[in-house]
Amino acid sequence: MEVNIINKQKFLAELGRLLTFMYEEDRQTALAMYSKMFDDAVEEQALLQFLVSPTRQAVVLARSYDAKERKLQVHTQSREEEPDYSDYNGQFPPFILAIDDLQQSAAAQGIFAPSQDVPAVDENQFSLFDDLSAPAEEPGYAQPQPEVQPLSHYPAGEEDAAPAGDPVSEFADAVDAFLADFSIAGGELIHSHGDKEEPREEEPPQAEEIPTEAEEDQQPFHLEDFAHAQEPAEEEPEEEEPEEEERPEDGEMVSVREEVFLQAEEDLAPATVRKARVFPLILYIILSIPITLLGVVLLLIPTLLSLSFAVTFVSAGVLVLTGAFAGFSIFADLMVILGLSLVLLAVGLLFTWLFIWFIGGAIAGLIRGVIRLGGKWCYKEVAVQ
Amino acid sequence: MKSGWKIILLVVLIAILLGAVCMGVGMMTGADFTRIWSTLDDKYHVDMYYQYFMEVWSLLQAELL
Repeated sequence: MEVNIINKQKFLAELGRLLTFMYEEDRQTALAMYSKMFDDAVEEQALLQFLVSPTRQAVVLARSYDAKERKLQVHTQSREEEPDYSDYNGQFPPFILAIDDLQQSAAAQGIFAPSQDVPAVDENQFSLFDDLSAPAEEPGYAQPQPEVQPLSHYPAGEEDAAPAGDPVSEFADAVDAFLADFSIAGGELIHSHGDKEEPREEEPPQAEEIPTEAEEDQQPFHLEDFAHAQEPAEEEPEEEEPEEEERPEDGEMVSVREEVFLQAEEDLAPATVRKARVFPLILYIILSIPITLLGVVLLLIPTLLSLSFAVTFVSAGVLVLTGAFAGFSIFADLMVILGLSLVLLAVGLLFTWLFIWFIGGAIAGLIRGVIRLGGKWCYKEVAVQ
Repeated sequence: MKSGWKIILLVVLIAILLGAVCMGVGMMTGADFTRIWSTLDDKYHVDMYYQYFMEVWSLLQAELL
């Protein structure tokens, strides 16, 4: 008997450690329901054999747990002392329904003591299932099956492997098939198929849509749900909320391991700083200043020539244009004067543009090039330790 | 700067072409350069400036060469 108590404690402790991906309120509710199952069991060993392992139960809960939708629920309930699951779109959260299914299956196997007087769960807990479970006068913990169909959404292939008509065996085989994708090494759950990191579709929370989840359940389970389970149990859910908010809205999940890996890559990326090489820098300054000045002076010659030609041609063009309307009375002479003024103004515009190009392009480009060359030759990137 | 060059060259080319067309039309319709020169000289004293620059150029040639 003492061994059973220790196993129950170990089971609940391990399960609590694995359920840290859930919000604290939901985790406590799930652990309370499992604890109640142990209390109501005739033989704890039979119940432990039925539950198989905390990891398996954590997988079952993880598959039925939708952190995003629960986040909204938990936020709205944060001001209340006790979680109220009655407003979960008019139904209970899927993880409670999953535990309820488990209890019904255990009751069907006779693991719980049949009792007319004592209900399987306390009144408060039992009241959560008023919409779905049997009336209070129904004997035992067993509740009516039609409202909840927990085992019908497993893959057909997995169902074929189980004996027909035995829901407990089907359930166990389905979970076994699912767990085959995982291995536990060193206390960590390792996904053996790396190519199954597809985003998991959000499961509808309503109970009447549960049968439609059969297609969803055939998809691979996401490690991300369990990555939270690898974190220390004492971590508060509030610390997970910023991480939840940073996730993409369209449901595309990046596993925590990838995030940690990317973060580590960023951390390991060497930070560099530019450091001047003093002697080449001084030498470069001494040499580059006179050379640059010489280049600027050389460039100023065509610049000023361009300016003078531009002024000359524009002035001549304007004078000819104004003269065309002053004293010419013959149309042919007027046309020649207008053509001449256009040509003079065009050449003046070309020289004006040359002047602008020499100032803004050639001279400024020479100075920028000298500075850039000095930065390239006289500075080096040094990694910061 | 590259697009500036393209725009400027296009404008200059069009203006020179227009000017050439105007001058061609004027020449074909009976324009006379002597008459044009005398008209401009009456207005701007072009001949006086021309004589002045020619004298300066002659002095520079005499001094420098």
